[in-house]
Amino acid sequence: MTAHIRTAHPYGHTPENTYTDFDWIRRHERELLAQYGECSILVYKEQVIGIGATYDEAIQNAERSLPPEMGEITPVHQWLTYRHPVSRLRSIK
Amino acid sequence: MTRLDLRVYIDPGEAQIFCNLLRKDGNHEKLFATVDTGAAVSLLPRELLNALDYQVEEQRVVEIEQAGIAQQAFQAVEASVTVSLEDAGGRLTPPFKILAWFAGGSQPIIGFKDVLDRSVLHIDMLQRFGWLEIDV
Repeated sequence: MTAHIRTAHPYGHTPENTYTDFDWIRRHERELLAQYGECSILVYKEQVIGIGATYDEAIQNAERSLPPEMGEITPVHQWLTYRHPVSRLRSIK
Repeated sequence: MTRLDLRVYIDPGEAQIFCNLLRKDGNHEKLFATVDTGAAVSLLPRELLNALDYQVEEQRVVEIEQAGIAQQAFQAVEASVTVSLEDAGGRLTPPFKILAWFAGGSQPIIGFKDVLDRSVLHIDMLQRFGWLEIDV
């Protein structure tokens, strides 16, 4: 199977959809969490194209659903998780 | 000094920045991370670690306390990785090394160690605007 998904890029190269897709996930985070629960999610041009329990599973899920004739695409990946309302991270030891 | 615009959100209030993490294959993994002045060290998703070009100075698992609540403690791997920060205008820092904690299922967080401790941070929630100026 030909891989369609490319999520890593050379230094200084940012695909056109990157900023808008990360922003779209952030603005729709509540709806996405309600629909998919906590998971790894791949978004391309403001559409969810893959989900999974892990990053790799989300990529496999997307690869299976994309048409074979589709060329390479550059989705963004995010971990959808319910947020702790306060973080303050400190090492205990 | 490189000045980068932050993405500032409300409900919940948050400032975010784009990060590029150097992978073993020479490419960069892109993340959208929260700038967190409550985080002593940046926190990154553990499942990324195997793909990244990282160094572990002392093999250890750190136990992290969250929000001062004992029940919220969790474990993480401590490692150094190479990162460059970026904003939506395409401005980009040179790559630089940071010490980070890697924990499972976590949304990326940019904290003080090696990042905010060398930065000027400005957040204007009224205008929903912010920037980070970093010396790398």
